[in-house]
Amino acid sequence: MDEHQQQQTSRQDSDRTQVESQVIAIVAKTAKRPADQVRLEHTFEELGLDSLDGVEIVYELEERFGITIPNESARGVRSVSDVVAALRTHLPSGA
Amino acid sequence: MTTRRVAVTGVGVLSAIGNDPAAFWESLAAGRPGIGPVTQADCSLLRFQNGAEVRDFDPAAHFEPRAADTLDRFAQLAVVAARQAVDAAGLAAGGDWRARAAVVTGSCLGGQTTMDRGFVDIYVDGRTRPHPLTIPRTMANAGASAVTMQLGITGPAFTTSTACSSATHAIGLAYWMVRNGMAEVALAGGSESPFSPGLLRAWDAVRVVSPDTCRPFDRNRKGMILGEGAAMLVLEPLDAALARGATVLGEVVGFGMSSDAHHLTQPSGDGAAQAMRAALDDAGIRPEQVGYVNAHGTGTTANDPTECRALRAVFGGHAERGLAVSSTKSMHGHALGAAGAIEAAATLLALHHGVLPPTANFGEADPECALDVIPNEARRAEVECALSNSFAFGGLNAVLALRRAGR
Repeated sequence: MDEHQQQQTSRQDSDRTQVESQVIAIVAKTAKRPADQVRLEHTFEELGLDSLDGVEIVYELEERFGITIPNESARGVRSVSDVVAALRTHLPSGA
Repeated sequence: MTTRRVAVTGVGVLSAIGNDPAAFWESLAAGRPGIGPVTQADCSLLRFQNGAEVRDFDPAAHFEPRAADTLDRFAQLAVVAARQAVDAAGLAAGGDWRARAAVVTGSCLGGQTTMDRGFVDIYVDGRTRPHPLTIPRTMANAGASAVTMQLGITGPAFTTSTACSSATHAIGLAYWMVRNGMAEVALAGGSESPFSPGLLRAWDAVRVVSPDTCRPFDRNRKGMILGEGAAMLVLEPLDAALARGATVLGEVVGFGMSSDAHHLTQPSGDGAAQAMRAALDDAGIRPEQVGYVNAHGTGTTANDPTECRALRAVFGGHAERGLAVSSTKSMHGHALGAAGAIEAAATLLALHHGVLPPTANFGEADPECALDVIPNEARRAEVECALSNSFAFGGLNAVLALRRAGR
């Protein structure tokens, strides 16, 4: 990675909230891809993930943030941004 | 190969809606669910608190103290259901049938409440080893083994474990054994006791359990309700049953199996249709002869519309006019590896009584499940043949075809 790319990556990181970065890291781990290949705009389908993978991703986030996300929010996630939205709704301080 | 008609001459049931066949049938006919707060484990940290537990089951009333100690609750339930079935069949008095009898039980989880307790002993309470009977109490075949020992049955005995299809596979294989002359009597069914703290948390994690109740085919359904129980059937050749003057409750006439080869938890529908067609073919009956289907009907988002699509694919226009479909899981919960046995018992009793049990807790129809689901009230109907569907996680499907006794 050259200096220019590094700067770009760090700028992207700072633009992202902590929540978005954590979601992307967990989605990437589940999809078996490097985190820099996962974007907020990706649908699960584009990443080769299904609804059961979604349940797994939300589970990881519940454990990490120490919260409980109800089934209605968790079952509907179909994209990376859906996961971020579901998580934000249930985080205590609206991170 | 010998091919014989196979009669059901005895049924035993313990479930959330009754601890014997008469009480079980009374609840089914009244459309009365047995769903309530789980008492066997603490659910306060879970997204659900309700289950369909067997109530007022006292092992001391059924077993010598030492025998009760050696058996997990799932195996105790299997033995009591087997004794009920044998008594109902009028087999108890004579002894020589025991050498030619088979026992086939289904269980998804085996004695997991025992294993869960053992893990608490080790990981929480710091013991070096769990109780020495942890292994024999936990094995999936503990129910089948206990039935053979308690009843002195010495013929072939084994256990099928195919998640929610376990007991349907067990009854289907036992049916084929009796039909083909491999056993003169078979005790077949299943039992399950899922209410351990660890297992309930695992079910919570997979997000298919309803926070309140089970509403199959309803547009506001929120998932399944875990159930507990056991059911056992006595199968024997019809000619032998009639010759000894036994009461014939109904006949098992066909069995079909298939695999979705698709997904761990999402049903494909094609596999379900293939298993139903296989059961009809095995029975040599036409779809129009089937008047009732006891659906797998879990009340989950995924199962119900997929099962309805499969029913339409198999039954065509008959699915829309003439075929009644209900999910008795709305009353006795989803008893996992015992579900197929409890539902086969419900279906046989329905054929026998000429009354179809309803889908309870039904509120608002889902356009994707718009079949005749017998909402909330049982219906008088003389039905010739019925199917009992079981579709497991992992995509393993099993379907029984049953016929009412000849009149």
